[in-house]
Amino acid sequence: METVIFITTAIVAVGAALGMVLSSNAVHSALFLILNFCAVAVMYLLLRAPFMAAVQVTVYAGAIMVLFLFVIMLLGAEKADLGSEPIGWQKPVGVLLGAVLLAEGIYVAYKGIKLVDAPITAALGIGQPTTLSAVLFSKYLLPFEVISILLLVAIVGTVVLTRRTVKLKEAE
Amino acid sequence: MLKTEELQVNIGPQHPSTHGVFRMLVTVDGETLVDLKPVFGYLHRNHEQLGEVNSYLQNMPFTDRLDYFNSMVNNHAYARAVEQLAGIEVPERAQYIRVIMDELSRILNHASALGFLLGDMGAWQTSLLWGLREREKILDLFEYVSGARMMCNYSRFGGVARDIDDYFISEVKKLMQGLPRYFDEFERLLVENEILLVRAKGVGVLPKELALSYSVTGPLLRGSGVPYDVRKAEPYAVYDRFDFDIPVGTVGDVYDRFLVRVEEMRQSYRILEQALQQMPEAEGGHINPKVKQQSLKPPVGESYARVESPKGELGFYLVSDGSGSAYRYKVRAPSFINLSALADMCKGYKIADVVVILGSIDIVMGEVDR
Amino acid sequence: MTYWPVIAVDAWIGLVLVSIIKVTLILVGGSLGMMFLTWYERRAIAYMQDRRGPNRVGPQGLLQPVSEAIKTMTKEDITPLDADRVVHFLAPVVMLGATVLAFAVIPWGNLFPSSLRVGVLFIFAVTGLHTVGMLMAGWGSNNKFALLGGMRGVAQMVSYEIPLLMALLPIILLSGSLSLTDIVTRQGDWYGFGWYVFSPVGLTAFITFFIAALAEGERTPFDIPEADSEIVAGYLTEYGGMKFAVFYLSNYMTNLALCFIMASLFLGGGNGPGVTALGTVLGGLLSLVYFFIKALALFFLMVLIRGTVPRLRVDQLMGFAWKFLLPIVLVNVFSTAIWVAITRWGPQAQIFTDWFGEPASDNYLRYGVAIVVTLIINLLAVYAVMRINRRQPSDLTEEEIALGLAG
Repeated sequence: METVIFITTAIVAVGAALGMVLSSNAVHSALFLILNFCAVAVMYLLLRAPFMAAVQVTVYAGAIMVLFLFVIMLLGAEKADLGSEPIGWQKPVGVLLGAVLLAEGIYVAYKGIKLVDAPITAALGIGQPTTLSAVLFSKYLLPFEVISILLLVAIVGTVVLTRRTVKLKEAE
Repeated sequence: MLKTEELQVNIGPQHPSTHGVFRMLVTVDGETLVDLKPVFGYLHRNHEQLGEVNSYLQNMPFTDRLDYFNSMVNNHAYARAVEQLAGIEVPERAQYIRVIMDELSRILNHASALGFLLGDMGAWQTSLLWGLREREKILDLFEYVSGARMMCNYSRFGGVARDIDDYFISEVKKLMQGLPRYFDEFERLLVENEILLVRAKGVGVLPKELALSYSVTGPLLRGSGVPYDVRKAEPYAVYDRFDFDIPVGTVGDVYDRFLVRVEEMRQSYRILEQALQQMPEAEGGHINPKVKQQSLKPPVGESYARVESPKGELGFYLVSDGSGSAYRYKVRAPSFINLSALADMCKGYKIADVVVILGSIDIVMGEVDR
Repeated sequence: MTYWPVIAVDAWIGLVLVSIIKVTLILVGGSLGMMFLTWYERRAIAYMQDRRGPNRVGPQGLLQPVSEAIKTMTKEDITPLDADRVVHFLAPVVMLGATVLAFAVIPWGNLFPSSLRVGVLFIFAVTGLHTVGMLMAGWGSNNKFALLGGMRGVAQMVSYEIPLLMALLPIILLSGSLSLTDIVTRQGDWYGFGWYVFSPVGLTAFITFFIAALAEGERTPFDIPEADSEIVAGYLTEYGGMKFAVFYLSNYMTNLALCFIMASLFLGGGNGPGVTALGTVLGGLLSLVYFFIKALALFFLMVLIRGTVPRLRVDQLMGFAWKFLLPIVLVNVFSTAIWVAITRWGPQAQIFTDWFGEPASDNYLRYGVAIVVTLIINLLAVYAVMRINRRQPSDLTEEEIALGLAG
């Protein structure tokens, strides 16, 4: 049963990822990415980490990608302009990095297949919201707070930036 | 800074809240309105040309179709223009009957207009049906007296088509018993509803000077704070005998127009009360029997008669060459002229406000595209 | 390959069968429930408007939705010429899928408890995908009204999801669980009346959640994504026939799910007097009845609001979410923490034990103090927020800019 689900989701995830990279329409790419995230969320469920799955869907598919889509649609930038590449060396570097990543993946799959063996029981606890929050609020309290402050700064920065443009507009 | 695209949207001609076949070519930046161009003419049916072909009496039912909410007022205005042209005397009783019909019509129009306005704000039909509730009763009365609910064709030159009887008067009195409570309810709908207040206050402001320069009339003008009402400015029929006030707004926003309309309904109620009281002493029948209705041939000349229709100043201009039909026939339609101020009222507000502002002007396309 | 658990073939066929039956039940029940709700809403609104409403097809017009379903199914399926065919087709599917998934974890009374331990989060994760469907419909239709509607919908959903989830936090704090079943069971004491809504924090959470749920379910006064008097039908403009019906179905099922969730979280789900006394089966049935009564009462409240209130404008809507709901909800989380501390903390805070005695469910002094303290905090918060918002009347555009709505 789980094997069947795993194989289906894996195929969907890989297919969605390919579709995301290959489609020329930005909206389609974003939609494929959402599909990919959902497939990954199902994999989290298979790993008995429902909390992670829920967070994955809420944060990535539900919030971030929706904002992506929103911006794409708002700016009407869905059609990618393939003719002019603003940064010339982007493509070869991309191919190189992709090749490195692929090699890495093959190496890990070939060499370290035992990596998967151990954690499946140990990882059971990590997915639970209680263990997660216990760790977050004791061991990693400082990083957690630092991140919150960082996010707050980002929000304040956004507000300040947009505010200035509004005032400029009024002055014109 | 990224620049977002400006979007051109056609609101209408098939759109739920354009009050008929009316199109607004709207340019929006996000949700904010940058430009608005009203486009109309979809309902044009050669009304004024027809008026020059028809005989004078034949044209009376055509005026019903102008502002089909208030055919009584249209008939009255047209009859007055012809009476002025031909120098016809109107008996007092007929004048009173016309005033009663006009004021009933005003209540009817304002009630449904406010209902539609709230509907435009998104109140799901409830307000609309509330407005139509009293309208139904008044329409029943119209049907009793004229034979038709909306296309009344009631006025004749020198009077009205049929006399009203005691039953009609008792029914009007019965209707009027419930009206004050109804007005209060309508006003409470606005004053006590927070959402309505934020939607209406400060929206669609029409400054006094702008309103005057656009020659806007009716509740729209009075909402902007100009106490102009034909019933007071140039009292026609027997309006000089009644005691009533002209409600005016202060800011000129949707909220003021709403309040002005509610208050006008109250004033109409006052006029009705006085008219019903004074009418039994009025002299003459319901019509001047000496007038030849069918073959009326007014002497050469011209006339302009205006009345205060619920939507504003409704005027008829007639030129006679002595034949059986008018040489020139022109309608000053209040909806049309009020509508011309729409673009200036809407700029800078949101799309959602545009429909509310349009609703607050209270237009009828039958009158805009004649 | 031993790390993949091996399940015997017959066992998983049984599992598949059970899942299929469950899914069918949810789908059939959901669509029947939606049909009933449309009838219920129309009759209720008709009653408010001095009309009769649909009363011709079947007894009291109950079969009206059936006739309408037949009508929509037999209609021509139209796709606009310049629309993105695939996206246009998939949008209703995504919408419905997101809604149906939420039903998976709703406990129907005490009879069918759901087992997912993060059920609450799961629901909001999958319903969050609604926005994707909305954007797909808005963009895929290649229509300006649809695009405007989709944009509005997303802006609304994204901003109201925050108060919605924040309003949940107090309940999670009170119950100490993310599972809907656990949350319901924990409201079972006090003769079945231990509902969270009866505490000041729970009440505040309930009201704020209800308002945010109205926005999530696109009900008046927050139905601006499909505001028919402004942008025709929003993202639904280019949809007709069965595709439109699917949107409609998903909309009503979302509302139904939200009502169920509110009934479970705040109104004790299937809890009520007599449920525990009557045993598993009878008590379970009774709990199902209680559950449906509560959910329908909530839906009636939604209908009542729809029949009376006009719609907010987009900027006012955003302002309401960010300037009004969010602060109140945040303060409510704080006062819930205080509530928990006062009612439950024994050894952690010796001072409370000295003052009010040991924490126990019959220690009424502790509950009384907690009620007074949290009530004062919440009322102060509401008062302060109202005062602050009164000062600047209609200038609510900053939020929009923060959301990227204005240029």
